[in-house]
Amino acid sequence: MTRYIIRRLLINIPVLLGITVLVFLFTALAPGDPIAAYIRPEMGDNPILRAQLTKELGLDQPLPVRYFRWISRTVQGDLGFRAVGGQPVASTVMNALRNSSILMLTALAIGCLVGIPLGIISALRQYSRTDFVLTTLTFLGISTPSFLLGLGGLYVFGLKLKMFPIGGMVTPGQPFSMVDFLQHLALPALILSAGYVASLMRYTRSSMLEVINATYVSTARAKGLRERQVVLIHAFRNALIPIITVIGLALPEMVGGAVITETVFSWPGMGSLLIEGVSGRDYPLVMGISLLIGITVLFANLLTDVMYAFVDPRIRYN
Amino acid sequence: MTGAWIGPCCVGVDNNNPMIAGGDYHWLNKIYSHLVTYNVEYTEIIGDLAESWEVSSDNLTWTFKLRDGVQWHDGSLLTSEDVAFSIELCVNPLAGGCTKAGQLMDIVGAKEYVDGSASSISGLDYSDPSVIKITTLAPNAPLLDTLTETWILHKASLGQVPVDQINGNEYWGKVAIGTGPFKLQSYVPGQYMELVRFDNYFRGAPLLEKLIRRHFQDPATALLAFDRGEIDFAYVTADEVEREMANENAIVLPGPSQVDNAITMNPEKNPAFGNTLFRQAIMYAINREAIIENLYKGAAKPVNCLFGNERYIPADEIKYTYDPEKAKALLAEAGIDPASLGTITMDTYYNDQLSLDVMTAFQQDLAAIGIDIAIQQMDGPSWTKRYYDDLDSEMSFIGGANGADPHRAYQYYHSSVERSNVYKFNDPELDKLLEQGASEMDIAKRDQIYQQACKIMSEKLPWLFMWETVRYGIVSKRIGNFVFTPAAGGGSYYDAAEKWFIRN
Repeated sequence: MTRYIIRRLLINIPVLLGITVLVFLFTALAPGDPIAAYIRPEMGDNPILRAQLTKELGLDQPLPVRYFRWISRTVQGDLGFRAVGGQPVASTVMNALRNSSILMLTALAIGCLVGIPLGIISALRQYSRTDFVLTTLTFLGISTPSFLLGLGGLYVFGLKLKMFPIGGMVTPGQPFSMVDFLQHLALPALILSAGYVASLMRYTRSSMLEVINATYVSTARAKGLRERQVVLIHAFRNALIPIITVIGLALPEMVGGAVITETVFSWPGMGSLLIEGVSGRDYPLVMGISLLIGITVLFANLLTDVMYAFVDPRIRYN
Repeated sequence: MTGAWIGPCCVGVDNNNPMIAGGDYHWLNKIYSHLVTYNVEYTEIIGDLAESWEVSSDNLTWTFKLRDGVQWHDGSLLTSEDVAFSIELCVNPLAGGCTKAGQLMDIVGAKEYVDGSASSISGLDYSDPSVIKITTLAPNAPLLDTLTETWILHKASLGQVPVDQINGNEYWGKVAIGTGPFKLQSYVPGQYMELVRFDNYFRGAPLLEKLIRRHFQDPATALLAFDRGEIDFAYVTADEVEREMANENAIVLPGPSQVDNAITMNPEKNPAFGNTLFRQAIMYAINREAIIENLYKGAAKPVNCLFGNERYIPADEIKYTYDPEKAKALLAEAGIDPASLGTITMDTYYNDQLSLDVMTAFQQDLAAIGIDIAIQQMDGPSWTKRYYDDLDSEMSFIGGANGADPHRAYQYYHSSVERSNVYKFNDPELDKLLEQGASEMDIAKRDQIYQQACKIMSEKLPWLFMWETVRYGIVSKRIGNFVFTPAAGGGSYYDAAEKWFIRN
């Protein structure tokens, strides 16, 4: 197992380099003037600043030279400065990453804690009324666009019922309070979790259904084990693999953020930061974020594969 | 008092460096001041940090007397050295850019300072700490307007920051020393900024204790927060205004946006576009009244030249009322057969539904006189490249600031200007008037000159002027003495923020 992990890590390195090359090429070859983000048209033409920026950013150098400049700084942790506004990319991205992760992890946790048990119940009571109700609700949860859920939730729970504050992470002007923060976190996390609850419930349900009819489950029952042991220890553990896949796929979303929900709730996360970077042609920011997403996907995949091995002893990597 | 200044309306809105901020000025005005500013009606320029000013008999040297005893937020006193520092920083290319840099180049010695041959701007005289003298290369009437948006910054603290690190520096979010009525308390990037009252503000200590600006990415969310009472001020879009008019706890504040919408045409793409009769035909063909009434719900005012300010509009400007028959007649007179033009693409950087509806209305109106238009909405940077760099646009639907000073027209239409006069419009009569207007110091005469300029613009149509939109703010009734007008970028006007208070 350790050898497998080390091998995977070693393979990740050239893949990561390949990602950096692609990220760099796409942004470098994108149409548009890279200086335009630094000198906006309404500031007029400023040839001295333009020349100075071109030299500083190395934009007059050939592509490979520019790539090496960028990559050599990046491995030292210097992601450069934003084109729009000039703040350091690394700290801006870290801030946004922290905010996004809190939101997404909470939503994912709710999704697991609610979705998985519901999926199990639904599978055990297949074709019953409970199953039918839950499956329909799932369907609604997946189909409703997050924009609608978000604004609707704000309108109902924020404005009409006054249960939650409207947007933002904290109440401005007050010292930080965990209660205040959780109040702000609750609504966006709940809205986001709808999608996770729905998909986890579906996958759990179908995976459980496959397993529950397996012969080893009836054997376990025949041996006189309590129903709860049969379900949780024997059936569920084997149904876990697709569930872990879904959770593993959700991990890169921590980094990508949920653009629409973050916009509606003014949650300053990665999703809205990336959109800001792209529409403002803020190349250093876009490269920094794309790189981070690439790294996260690589390692999330590795983590997921390792989890498989723990959950299913039949899976051996060598 | 909590307000929402919604981003991303303007680039740099959550960046507190006023020099490069493209908007959000009415927030930045709470921290920093200018030498002069406009009154809220935008009819005259009044003193801010400058108590009085006069110009020499040769119209070249302006002497500004600074108010006595103006304090910075750290208690030190404002001197003319701070003013000179601020102007030098604005034009300094190493500082990362500044919106007024171009206009400030008209100061004697600015060019030498910028290209490095001088270590300071010779046209700035700050030998007397309570007086700043500015000498310009030529008589410069719009200098006062330029100074309404030139931020006066604190030399002692900002001067410590290396010039090439000023852009995006944490100074703007942590130190931010200004002379405005409120000073920085805390700043959480992406979320909010908190200001507290500055007791030694030169117009008197503010009544309000705190001002908070919350950053919203979605205007709909900001409005919900306003309805709930979480914030006291927000912008409202025209489609939400009707709903908010019924809100008992709110006052809707309309005002001219100081931005004109217009259609531009590229004569390189089609010689017909350079034909004045053809352009006039299109003006008559478009039913502006119907568009304003049905799509803008009345929230726009038709303009026939660049200016929206009544004082620059002559009684005999051409009013292009909707007249498709006249349009067809003009086409015939110009000898242009609309069918021969083929399909013309009208591009724009406006991506909202309202603009799409407006352009669809253009499409219909022009189809009625035989001209076929295809609409293309693009994102900002792509459009900028196509319009300014590649000169590839055929027709474009744009927005352009129309003020506050009429000298704005020079940048767009004077034949000597590159880039912002994209299609190299060249009318010698208009050129002369714009030059005269820039150097005429007498206000009454200046108004006359620009009225004549307006008349020519409405005849020759360097742009097809459509309308000036109305924008709205909304404020909670619990705020007393609140003053607001939706100027472009937030504008620079005296809003008496020190007198705002919360009713109980």
